[in-house]
Amino acid sequence: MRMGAGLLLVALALPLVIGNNYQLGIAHQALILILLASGYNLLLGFTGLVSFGHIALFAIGAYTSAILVVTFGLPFLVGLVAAAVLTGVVGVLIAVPALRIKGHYLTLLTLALGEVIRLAIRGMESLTHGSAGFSGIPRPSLLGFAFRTGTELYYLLLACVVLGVLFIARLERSRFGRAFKAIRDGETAAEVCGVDTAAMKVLAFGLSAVFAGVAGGLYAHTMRFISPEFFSLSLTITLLAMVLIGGRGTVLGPVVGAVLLTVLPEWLRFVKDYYLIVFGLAIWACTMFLPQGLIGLATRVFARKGRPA
Amino acid sequence: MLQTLLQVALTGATMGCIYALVALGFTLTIAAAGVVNFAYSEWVTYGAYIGVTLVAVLGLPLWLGLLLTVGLCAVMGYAFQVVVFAPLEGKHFLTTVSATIGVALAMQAAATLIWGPYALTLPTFFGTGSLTIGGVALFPHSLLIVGITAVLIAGMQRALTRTDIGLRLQAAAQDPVAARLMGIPIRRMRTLAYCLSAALAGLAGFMVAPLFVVTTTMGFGLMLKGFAATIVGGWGSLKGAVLGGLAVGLIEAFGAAYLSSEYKDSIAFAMIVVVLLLRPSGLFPERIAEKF
Amino acid sequence: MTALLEIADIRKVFGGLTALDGVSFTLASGQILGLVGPNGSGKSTLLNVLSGIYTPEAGEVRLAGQSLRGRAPHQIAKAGLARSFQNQQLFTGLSVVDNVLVGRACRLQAGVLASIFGGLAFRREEAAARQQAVDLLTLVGLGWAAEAEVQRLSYGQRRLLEIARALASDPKVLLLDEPCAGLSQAEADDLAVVITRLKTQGLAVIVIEHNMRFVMGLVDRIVALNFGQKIGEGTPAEIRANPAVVAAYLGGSSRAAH
Repeated sequence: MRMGAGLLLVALALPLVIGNNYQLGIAHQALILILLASGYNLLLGFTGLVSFGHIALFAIGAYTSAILVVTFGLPFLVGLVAAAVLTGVVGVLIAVPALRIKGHYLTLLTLALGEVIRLAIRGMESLTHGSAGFSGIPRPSLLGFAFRTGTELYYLLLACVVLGVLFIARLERSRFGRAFKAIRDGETAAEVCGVDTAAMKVLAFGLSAVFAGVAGGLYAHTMRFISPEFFSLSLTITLLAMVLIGGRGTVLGPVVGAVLLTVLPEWLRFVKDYYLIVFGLAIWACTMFLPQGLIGLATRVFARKGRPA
Repeated sequence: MLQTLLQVALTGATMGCIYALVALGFTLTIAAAGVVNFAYSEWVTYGAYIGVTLVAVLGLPLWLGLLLTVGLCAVMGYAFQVVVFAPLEGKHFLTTVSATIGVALAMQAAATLIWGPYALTLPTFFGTGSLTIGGVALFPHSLLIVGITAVLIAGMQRALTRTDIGLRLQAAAQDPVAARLMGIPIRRMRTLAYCLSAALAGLAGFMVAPLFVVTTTMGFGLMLKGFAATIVGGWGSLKGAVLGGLAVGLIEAFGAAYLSSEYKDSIAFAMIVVVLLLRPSGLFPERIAEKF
Repeated sequence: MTALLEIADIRKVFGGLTALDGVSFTLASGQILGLVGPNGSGKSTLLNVLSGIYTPEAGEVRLAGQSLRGRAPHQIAKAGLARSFQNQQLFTGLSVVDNVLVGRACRLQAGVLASIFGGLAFRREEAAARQQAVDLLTLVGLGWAAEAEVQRLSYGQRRLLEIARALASDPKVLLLDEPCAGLSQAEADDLAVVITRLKTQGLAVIVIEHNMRFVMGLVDRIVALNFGQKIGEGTPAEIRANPAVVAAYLGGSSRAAH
């Protein structure tokens, strides 16, 4: 909790410290990915459902908002809500077969579905402009106020992130959070204890999809250009790494992971291929030695410090 | 038109054999050690690159290049067992998957550093000529792929069911506890499986390289097709891997020719979705020990 | 005494193996029934059928008159039947008290929005559930460990946690699968006291256990199984004298009772 408050203070003060728009852009990306990773963590870290198709939901959110706002002239808020709802529905639809398909089969099913969806988006050229990409997406605007500057956009995104993270924090302390984790740790036992595992899994898929949809919509209006190539399998790996390195099953893990994996590639851009090698090895090392991620490490360190010698 | 049909069928069969080899190697580790090796894609890629280096750079004759590639890949499999898989034994599915993904990522980036970002090529054994029989173009290399695959599979079946070590491998895969009690060294059997798996990957990489260009992402694409093959054929079944590979290759070729070449990539994924939704155990769900 | 739990002609087949073959008995409220038999006689399978993990090929299970046939495990839990497992199935990523709270799942009502906004109803429900969980932990002697991680508990303590978790849903019937495995004799005696106390409150219990001292001192009746069939039913004294039961334990099986 204190860690969260600390991070929030830093986040609030950030635009005052950052000078240029380029760095603010990185911050925008980080915030959007925090939202995406948090939703993904709900599915993977809390409930133990290993989905490799989550980026497709991100894409659906982005394109839904872009199409509704640009092609149909609807206001930003409508586009965003529609993105959330549509993506949520798709998430629930995916949950249905996921109820009887488990383990590595689920992972491959979601991988395949994700690619099919991405390729379908690419194929619907009249609507999505296909490989050429969808450009000309306006900045977000609420009630006539357009978030045109980098700083204004930053605080809008930050507000969304804070709401999202708070949502997950509250959920964790409720019967839903416990149910998700119980399913992850022992599905049969959870069922026998009275947890409606089917309903909970559908809920997990639905909620994580809504997060992805909102993140997608925000992404479209922040970057102002989207293309199917961006929503690739390598982004899936990055998303997975964010949750694993940050700390799966924790509220702040995806926050730390998303920030780290958005900022580091920027700092280390001049050694790109070396960065990728280190990145890959870091994922490997993390899964072997830090199963609870960086947040887990921090928790253990602080716990030890709190106890008298 | 019959000629087109046969042409497409031949393409499909050729790629089907490549997919079958990839799926076979991939399934070996699943059947023998219960491990889903996401770094398999890099084994294939490195097989192709090592082949290119031996032949195009060092000027070795193709047959020697092939043998050395397969051998070096087997060594790579051994190294993986020691460094990556032994510490992962008994761990959760997500842990193994994530760890191998991490390794794969590092290997892919390393490949770019070692061999550069540009595509490389590997010549075939037969040059660029082709035979034309009845209006159908036959590339000798394709026939070689089909031939090698057939021989390999027959050989593997015989080795697994008739030789001592093959039976031990099957025992270790079916019931590790019982096998251990009978004195079969599980770790050694698993190491053997990894070496074989890597050798198959290297072979697949070397054989497929002349058909396309060699890039750092070629292995990944093939592994995805390998996933499709194992799902279609039956997870953990060697026979299923082979038949699944052929099925994917043929359906992909026919789909691209008669439906739409633009959506060619999605065919394999669509097959995964359909099979998992309708018949998750695949078309030939058997374990390594039975029948094959 | 009307029967609380009626089990009639349960038949469960796995491939070629008949695990349960026409097992029938009844259980009344406030009764403790011991389920005994050699390994492989079908005891755990019966518990799995009762808790809904397996669907029987034939037979009927009725709890307070309601049929449980074909119901999902979580529905059976809601109807009032809870169990502990032989091979521990605790939620290792949750704290000890959270484990017990999961056991309360079927009695909690708060929706997603209520949980997020934290209204009065939600907070009251959570607080009451939490208090009950702590009380149950205290009952089994784990009150001190509420916030601890499951990993810190010993094997025997984890068994007790499972039982506390099973009790959290206010069940009418409690199924215990080898609760004494890993417990010291003192702990087993304490557990017997706890179960006896719950019995006076109307809880019915079916317990599978090889610890004969525990079983004989606790149960009202015993049902003995062998090869999936009921070979004897009666008071502990009657069962001890039953030749079929004695033969099943000493004749064919290699496992001796403690």
